[in-house]
Amino acid sequence: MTTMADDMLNLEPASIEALSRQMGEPDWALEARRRALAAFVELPCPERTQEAWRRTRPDLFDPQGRRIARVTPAFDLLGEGEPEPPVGMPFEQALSHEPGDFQDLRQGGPVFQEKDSAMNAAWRSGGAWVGIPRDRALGRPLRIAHEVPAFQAPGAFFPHTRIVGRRHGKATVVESFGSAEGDLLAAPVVDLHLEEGASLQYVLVSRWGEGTRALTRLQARLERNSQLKVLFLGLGGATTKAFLTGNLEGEGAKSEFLGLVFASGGQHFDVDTLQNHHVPAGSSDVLFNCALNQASHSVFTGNIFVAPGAQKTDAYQKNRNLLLSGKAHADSIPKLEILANDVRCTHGATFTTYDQDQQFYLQSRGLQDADARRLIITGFFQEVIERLEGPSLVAWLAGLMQDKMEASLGT
Amino acid sequence: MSDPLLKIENLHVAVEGKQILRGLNLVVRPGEIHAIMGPNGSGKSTLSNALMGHPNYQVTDGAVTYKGQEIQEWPADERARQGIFLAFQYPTAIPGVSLGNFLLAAVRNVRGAANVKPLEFRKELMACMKDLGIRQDFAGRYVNEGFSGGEKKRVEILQMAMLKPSLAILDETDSGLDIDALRIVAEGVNRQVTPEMGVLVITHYQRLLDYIKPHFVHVLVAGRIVQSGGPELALELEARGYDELLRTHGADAAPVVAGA
Amino acid sequence: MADASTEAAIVQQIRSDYQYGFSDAEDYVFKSGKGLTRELIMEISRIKQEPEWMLEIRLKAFEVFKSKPMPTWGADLSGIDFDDIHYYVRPSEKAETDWDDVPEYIKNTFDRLGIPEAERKFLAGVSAQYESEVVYHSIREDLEKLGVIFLDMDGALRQFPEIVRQYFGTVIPMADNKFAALNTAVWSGGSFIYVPEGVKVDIPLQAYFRINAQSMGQFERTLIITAPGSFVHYIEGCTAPVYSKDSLHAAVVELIALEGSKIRYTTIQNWSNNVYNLVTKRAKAFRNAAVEWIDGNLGSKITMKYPAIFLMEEGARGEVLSIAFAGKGQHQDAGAKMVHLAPHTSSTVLSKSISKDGGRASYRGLVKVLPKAEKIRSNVRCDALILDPESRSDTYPTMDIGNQDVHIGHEATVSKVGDEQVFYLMSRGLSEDDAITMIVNGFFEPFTKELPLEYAVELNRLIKLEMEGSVG
Repeated sequence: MTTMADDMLNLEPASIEALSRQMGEPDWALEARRRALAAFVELPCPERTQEAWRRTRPDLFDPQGRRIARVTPAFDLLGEGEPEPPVGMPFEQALSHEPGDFQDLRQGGPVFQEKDSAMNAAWRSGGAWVGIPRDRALGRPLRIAHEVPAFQAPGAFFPHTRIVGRRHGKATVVESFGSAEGDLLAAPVVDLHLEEGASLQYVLVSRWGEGTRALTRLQARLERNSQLKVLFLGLGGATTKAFLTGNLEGEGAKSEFLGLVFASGGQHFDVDTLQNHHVPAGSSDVLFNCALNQASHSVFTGNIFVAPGAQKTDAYQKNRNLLLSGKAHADSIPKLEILANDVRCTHGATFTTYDQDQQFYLQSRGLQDADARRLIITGFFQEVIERLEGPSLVAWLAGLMQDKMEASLGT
Repeated sequence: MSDPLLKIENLHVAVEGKQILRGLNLVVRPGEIHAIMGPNGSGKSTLSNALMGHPNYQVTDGAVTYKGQEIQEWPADERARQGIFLAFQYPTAIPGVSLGNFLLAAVRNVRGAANVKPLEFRKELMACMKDLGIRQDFAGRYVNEGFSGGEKKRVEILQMAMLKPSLAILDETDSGLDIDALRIVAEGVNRQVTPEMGVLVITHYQRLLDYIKPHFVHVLVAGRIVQSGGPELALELEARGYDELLRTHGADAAPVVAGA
Repeated sequence: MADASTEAAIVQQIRSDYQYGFSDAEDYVFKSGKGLTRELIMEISRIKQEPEWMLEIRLKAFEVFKSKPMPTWGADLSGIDFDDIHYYVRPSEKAETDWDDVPEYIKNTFDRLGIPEAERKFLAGVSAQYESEVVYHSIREDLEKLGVIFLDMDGALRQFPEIVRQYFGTVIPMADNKFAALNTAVWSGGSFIYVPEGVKVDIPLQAYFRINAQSMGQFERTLIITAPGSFVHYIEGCTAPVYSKDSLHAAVVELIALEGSKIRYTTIQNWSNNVYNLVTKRAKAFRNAAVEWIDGNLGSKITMKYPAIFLMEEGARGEVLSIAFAGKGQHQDAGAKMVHLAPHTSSTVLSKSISKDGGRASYRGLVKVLPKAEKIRSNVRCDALILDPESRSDTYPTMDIGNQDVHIGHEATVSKVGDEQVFYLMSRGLSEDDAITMIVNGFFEPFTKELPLEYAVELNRLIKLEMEGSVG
C-alpha cells in the first residue's frame, strides 16, 4: 500500500503534522517528529571535505521539494515449515502496541548527530518493528518487504525499522527495499538492539530502482554475550551511501558484518562500516566483497575502534574487490584505531580481476570463457553468503545474486 | 640415596580457571631418567609448562622443590638460570631474532656474561650444531620461523646442549619427527645426559623410550599419576592402550579417595 | 605559568634521557628575529646572493603559505606558533671542505655525534648542516672525478643554477601543502646530488642535520637526480637539543630517478621530543627506475611524513620500508604514498610501529592506480605493537584503484608482544625486559637489516635505550 503526500516536502511543521495524523500515531510520536525537524533545520549540511563524504556528494540527499511516499511493509516467512507466531508489524502500529520499545522517542530523544538521521525521524513514512521473544528461537526467517510502487517523482521515502532481540531470543530477519522507476530519495534507518544473550541474523537487501539515491543508516547495540550477523546486499539504486555501525556494549558480544555489492552500469556504492569496541572481550568480524562491472564505482571504508580499556578485543576486517571491467573504479579505506594493547586486530584489502589460474583451470575442464567467469564471480559471492545460517535464506540470497549477475553480464 | 633434584608434592594446577593437575607427586634424583606417559588431555603439557613457570598456569595447591628450594615464586628466567630446561612441544617463532644472537643472549644469562667469550661461544655452537645435524646457516635464521617440525625439535635439543641444564624436561619431543630425525634427536639427548642430571621425558608414545631409556615410567591420567613402574610398564601400555586406565582413573571415573 | 626552576629541572631531566640533548652557546653570523615576513625572505635571498628567479619563487611560495589553512586531518599541530620561530640562522660564512676550518664549537658538536669518524670509516661523502646552513662538505675525490656532484643546495644553486632551475619544485610543487610552501619560501641548506649516467656510487653519501638554537626552524631542501643507469645511496640523520620551547623542522626532499637508475634514501630521524617534524618527501621514478625510502622515525614530538613515489613510466618500482617508535608525548604519523601512473609498475610498503608510554603511532598511506595504468602490483603491510594499555595505534590506508588489471593487497595487524614469545625467551634465561627488547628488535629487523652495519648497531642501541624500564 502506498500513498503519496499532496504537498511537496518543506520545513513547515504542518507537513509532519499531516504525516503523523495520516499514520495514526500517538501524540508523543508527533512531538518526536517536531524535535527531529528542529534538529534537521539546526544541523549543518555535511561537506565534501568531511572524510565520510569525500567520495559521494552529500547534496544528492536533500529532501526538499520531494513528495513523500508512505509505504506499508509486507511480512512473510521464508522457507517451508510451521508458521511462526507473528513478531513484527509496521513501525507506526508498534508505536501504540509496543510503546515499551520506544522509550527513547517518548522521553525526549534521541539526540541527533547527523542531519540525515533527523531527516528520517522527521518525515518517517514507513518501516517495521520486530520483537524477538525472550528465550525463544524462531526457526524460519522473517521477511519484510518495503516496495515503493509507481510514484510521482521526485519522491522521498523514509522507513525506520527497529528490531529488539530480547534476552536469549534468536531469529533471522530479512529486509528488502525496492522501488519503481523514477527519481526517488530513499533514506532508511535501521536500529537493532540485542539484549543479553540474544542472537540475530539480519539481512538488508538494497535493490532500489534505477532512479533511486539511497542513504542507509544501520546502528546496532550489542549487550553482553549477544551475537549479531548483518549482511548488507547492495544490488540496486543509482547512488548508495550506507553507514553500518556495530556498538559492542557488553562483554563477550560478537558482531559479524558482511557485505556483498554487485555494481554495474554507472552505479555508485559507498559503504562505511564501524565496529565500536567499548568494552573488553568483544569480537568483531567484517567481510565485505565488492564486484564491479562496467563503469561502476564502489567505496568501502571500514573502521575498527577499540576504546581504552577494551582489552582482549579480537577484531578482523577484510575487503575484497573484484574488478570485472576496465572502466570500474574501487576505493578501499580500511582503518584501525586501537587504544588498548591486549588485542588482536587485523585488516586486509585486495583488488584483483578474474584470477587467470582459476580461469585457465576451469577452461581446461571444458568450460567456456563466459561460464568460467560466472563461476568465479559466484564463488566470490558464495564466500560471503555461506557465512549465514539457514538453507532457505542462503538459497534465496544466492538466487538474488544470480539474477543480478545475469542482468549485468548478459547472456 | 642422593637428595632429590626435583620433588613434586600434591601439585594442583589450573589453566584459565580449569583444574588440570589434581594432586601429582613425583621425585627425580640426579642421574635418573623418568618417563611420563599419558593419553591426550591428561595434563602432560600442563606439567611441563607449570614446572617452567608459565604465567598462565596457576599452581592452586601443592609444592615443587628443586635442589631443596621451593620454586613457585621464581619467574621462568630464574628457573632457566638455576638449571631447569624445557624442550617445548610447540616452540614459538621469534621473527627477526637470529638463532645465534638469541642463544648468545641465553647462554650469557645462564652462565654469566663474564664466562662467555664470543669466539669460544661460536665454536661451541658450531660443534653442537654439527652433532645434531643442523646446518651452519641456521645460526643466522630467525628462531623457529619457517622451521619444519623436525628442525624445531633439533633446535630445542641444541639449546639444551648449550645451556647444560641440571633438569631437562622433554615435552613430546618425538611428536612430528620421522624415524631418522627421532634417532638423531634422541642420540643428542643421550650424549648430554650426565650422572648429575635429571631428565623428565613426557610422551604419548613408547617409541622415543626405545632410544632414551628411562629408569622409571609413570602413567598420568586426569591430572594424577595412577601407576608407576620400570621400563616394562611403557611396553605394557603400548600393547594395552590407555582405555582401561581411563575407565578406572579418568575424570569421569568415580572419585579417588584422598590417600588411596 | 610554570616556575622557571621547575621548567629547567624538567628540561634537565629530559636531556639526561636523550643522549643528543646537549646544546652549544650561540655565536652566529646572522640570526633572524622571530616571525616570518616578506622582508626577511628578501634578506635571506640577498645574503645568499641568489638569482632573481629564486627570490620570485620564494615570495610566491610565501603567499601560498599564508593562504593555506593549517591541516587538521592528521596529528595535532595547534601547538605551532609561526610567529615564535627563528626562520634563518647562519652559523658561519660558508660550507667548508676541510674539517679544520669548521668553527670550533660546531666541530665539537659533530665530533660528539661521531660524524667525521663515520666519514673516515665508511662514507663516500659527508654534508653537515648546523641550523640553516651546511657548515662542512666533502666528497671522495674519485667520485668527483667521475662527475658526481654532491653539494649543499645553496652551493648547487651558485654553481649549477640551470640544473637546479630545471628540477627545483617539479616533484613537489610549492602549493602541495602548507609546509612545502613554507619550505619553498624560506629554504636554506640541504643536499644536492647529481649522479651521471652509468655511475654507481657504491658506498653511501651522508648528510647530518643538527638544530641547536631554541625555537629554531630548519627548512632544508634536498634534490637528488640520478641519470640513466646510475645508483646512489643517501643517508640522513637528525638530532636537536632539548629545550622547553618547540622547534620546527619542515624539509622538502625531491628525488628524480631517470631511466634505469636507482635511488635509496635512508633516514634515521632522532629529533629531541620538542621538534615538530613535518617533512614532504616525494620521488619520481621513470622507466625501469627504482626508488627506495628507508625511513626510521624514533624522535620528535610530532612527525608527519609520508614518503611518496610517483611511478611515472613502465617498469618503475617503488619501495617504502619504515619504522616508527612513539614514546611518551610523541605522535608518529607516518606512512607512504604510491601513485601508479604507468602500466607495469610495482610498489611495496612495509611499515612497523611501536607505541609505548602513552605514545601514538599512526600509519597513513595511499595506493593510487590511474585508469590507464594496467598490470599493477602493489603490496602493503603494516604491523603495529602496542606495549601498554595507555598507548595507541592507528592505521589509515586509502586505496584508490582505477584499473581492472591489478594485483593489490593490503594487510595490517595490531597486537601486543606475544605472551608465548616472552615466555619462550624467559625459559632460556632472559629477563622479561631483555625478552621484550629482543622481540622488539626482531620486529624491526626487516628494517634494520637494510641499514649499513654501523647504523644497524646504533639503531638497536637506541631502541634498547627507549625500551629501558618497559616492564613495570
